[in-house]
Amino acid sequence: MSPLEQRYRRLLTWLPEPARSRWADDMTETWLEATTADDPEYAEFGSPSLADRLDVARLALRLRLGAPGASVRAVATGRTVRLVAVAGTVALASMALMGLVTTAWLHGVLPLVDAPDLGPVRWGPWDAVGAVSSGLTVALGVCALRGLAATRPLALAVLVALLVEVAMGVGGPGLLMSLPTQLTVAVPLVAAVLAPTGPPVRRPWWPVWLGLLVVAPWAVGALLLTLFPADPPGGLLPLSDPFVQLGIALVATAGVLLVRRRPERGAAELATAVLGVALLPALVSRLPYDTPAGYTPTVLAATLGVLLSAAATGAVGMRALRTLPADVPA
Amino acid sequence: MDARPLTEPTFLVLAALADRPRHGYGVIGEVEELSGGRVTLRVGTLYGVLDRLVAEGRVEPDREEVHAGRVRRYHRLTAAGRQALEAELARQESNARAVRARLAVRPA
Repeated sequence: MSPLEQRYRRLLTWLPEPARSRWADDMTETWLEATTADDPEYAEFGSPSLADRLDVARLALRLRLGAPGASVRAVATGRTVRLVAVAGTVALASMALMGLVTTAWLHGVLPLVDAPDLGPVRWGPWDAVGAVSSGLTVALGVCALRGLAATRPLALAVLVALLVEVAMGVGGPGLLMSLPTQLTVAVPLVAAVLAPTGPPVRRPWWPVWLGLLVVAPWAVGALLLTLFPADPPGGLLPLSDPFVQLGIALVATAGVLLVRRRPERGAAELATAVLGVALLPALVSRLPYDTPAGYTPTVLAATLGVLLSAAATGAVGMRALRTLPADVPA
Repeated sequence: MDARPLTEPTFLVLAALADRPRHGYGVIGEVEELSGGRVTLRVGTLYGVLDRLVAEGRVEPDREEVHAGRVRRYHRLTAAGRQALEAELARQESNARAVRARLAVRPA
């Protein structure tokens, strides 16, 4: 075995079983034939290129996320990533939709509802970019739920918009405050980029419910602000924060998942745990603000609830995942 | 059977195996020729596609041959693979016919 072959075979250890056993010899033979062309010097001193490494890494990722032919455990892992993508992007889409409705309300273009008397509302280029990004996020949620091929490019587009937003904030005073929230938003977007494509999620009650739960507390928050326009109670104010609402929705989802007896545990529990852990930076970043009395205890309670429910669902999900065989094709 | 259109690498790999069984390097060369040099499959992409096609029952192992001290494994199309390739061809031909008809009409 030439040093070059040894180096390529080492690269192939990234592939999970059983695909590695099935294809490693074939891939090595084909790669050597395609690259060395019987050049003894290259066979001695050459090394797989960066493109070859990325190529194998991409295949390894696809197989670890449950591409056809992957193991039972990899399929469950892929399903988890897909649920994070679907539930997370549906939640983000709910928030984006609410943001668009609020913007329309502030500008007085919402039918049947008068705009609030806040004086002239400014509208700059970044507001336009934000509105476009919100529109793309709503489309992303719909595509992810329906399992459409546009999910990945849309997720990539929203992720790029987020990165541009982060880059624009570098050096500014608001970056440290906004970065944790952007990290929370990035997790479902990355999951949507990586998630294996496939038909729509069967019986999509869970992500739909999550989306509705995110919208419902927002409506409750708006109602509270209508009832107490001058001095809303500080402890109820966080209910108008979409990330606190998402926390409440996740705690409720975790409770239902843990209480209900289901024959197949694992992916949904793990996805809830991942979304909960991803939400923690956004929740924690809200604690140091100079807020009205009662605000911090509510956010702290939501943070602790999310932390505990993520720990519980994560433990149940990991235990279920570990019982699945890692080297048996699905 | 999955009715979604085939991706280009999948279509080209099936097409490369249409006339006879081929080994991995043979498929890469045939795909390059079929696409007029436009598509050069990387090894990981090829085996990702082959892995999926085998799992879907569209391609199956044919035989093994020893070449220069190494084992080459050949793959061939199954009946399901041939059917999928023909369905994709029909879809592409139908699209091409429709677009050609539109192009034939010169705008006033």
